[in-house]
Amino acid sequence: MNLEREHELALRLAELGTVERWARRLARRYAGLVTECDLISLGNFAAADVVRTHVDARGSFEAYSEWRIKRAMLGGVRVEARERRIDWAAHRAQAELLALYQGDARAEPLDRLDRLADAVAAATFVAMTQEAQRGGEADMIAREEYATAMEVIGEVLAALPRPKHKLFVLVYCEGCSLTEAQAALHVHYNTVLRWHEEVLATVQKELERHDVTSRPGRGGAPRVSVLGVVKPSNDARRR
Amino acid sequence: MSPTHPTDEPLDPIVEATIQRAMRPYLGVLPPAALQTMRDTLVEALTMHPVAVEAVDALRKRAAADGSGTRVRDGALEQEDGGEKGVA
Repeated sequence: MNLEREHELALRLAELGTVERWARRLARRYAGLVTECDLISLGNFAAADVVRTHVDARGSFEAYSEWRIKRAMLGGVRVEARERRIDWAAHRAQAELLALYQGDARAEPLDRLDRLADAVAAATFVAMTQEAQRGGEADMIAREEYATAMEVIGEVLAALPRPKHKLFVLVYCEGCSLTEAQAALHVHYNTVLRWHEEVLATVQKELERHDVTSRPGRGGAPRVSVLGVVKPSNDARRR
Repeated sequence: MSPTHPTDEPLDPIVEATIQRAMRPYLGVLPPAALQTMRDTLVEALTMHPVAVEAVDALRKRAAADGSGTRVRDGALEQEDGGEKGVA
């Protein structure tokens, strides 16, 4: 695709107002989870990609851009509550389907309409049931506990004296062994061991104080090995 | 969650009937909130996707030429008779 063509498509997209329209609509649908401004940023990135990647064989530019942009914006919505995750999954599935949907041009109009509707209904049904099975209430609680644990660890770290903080970063962020950390910190190995135990004990105490008494599920979040200080949940969550 | 109907205007009866037909298998299977989500995605698809927009236009023209108002689907919504209403 040449630059002139990309420019022409970009102008058409601006005329259609696709980015602004979806940003407005999704900001309203997912109020509190994402801002219209963030959605516009995401939409603009997607728009640049859309004008570069569209080829006529993929169907009309309007349909391709419309649903690709919506799909990209949905990627910026941070959904935690289960019901909203299910709604989000349905909209994402719909946008993925429709971006490349062309239908059978030879079919009768009523059949074309029905087939499109059936495809959307089936895609959203599958997406919603899959999302509903992927977690549920326990998963939501685990995510909340995980968020609490991260906050607690952040507070503990911030309050540590500099050498202990560095030990924590070396071991849990950079993956160093205690021996490697000892070499980097230029202190006796027994001191490193003692600091390590003290930091973990402080983390554990603070987690317990915040009611995190079992190792919370990550819910897709990054693994944090320091959470090993709390016991695996074994479905023994209180609440 | 607010619905995402593009214009918040009443739906074309052809679109409404198509949505009702497509959602029928899922009634009683999905909870009300999920049915509302499915309906919202269908409304968007049937009012915004070019395949649907062209099909609806063609059906409207055909109905007008037949002098049959909006009656385009046997056993489904018939505007003149005040057929069944939305599912969610």
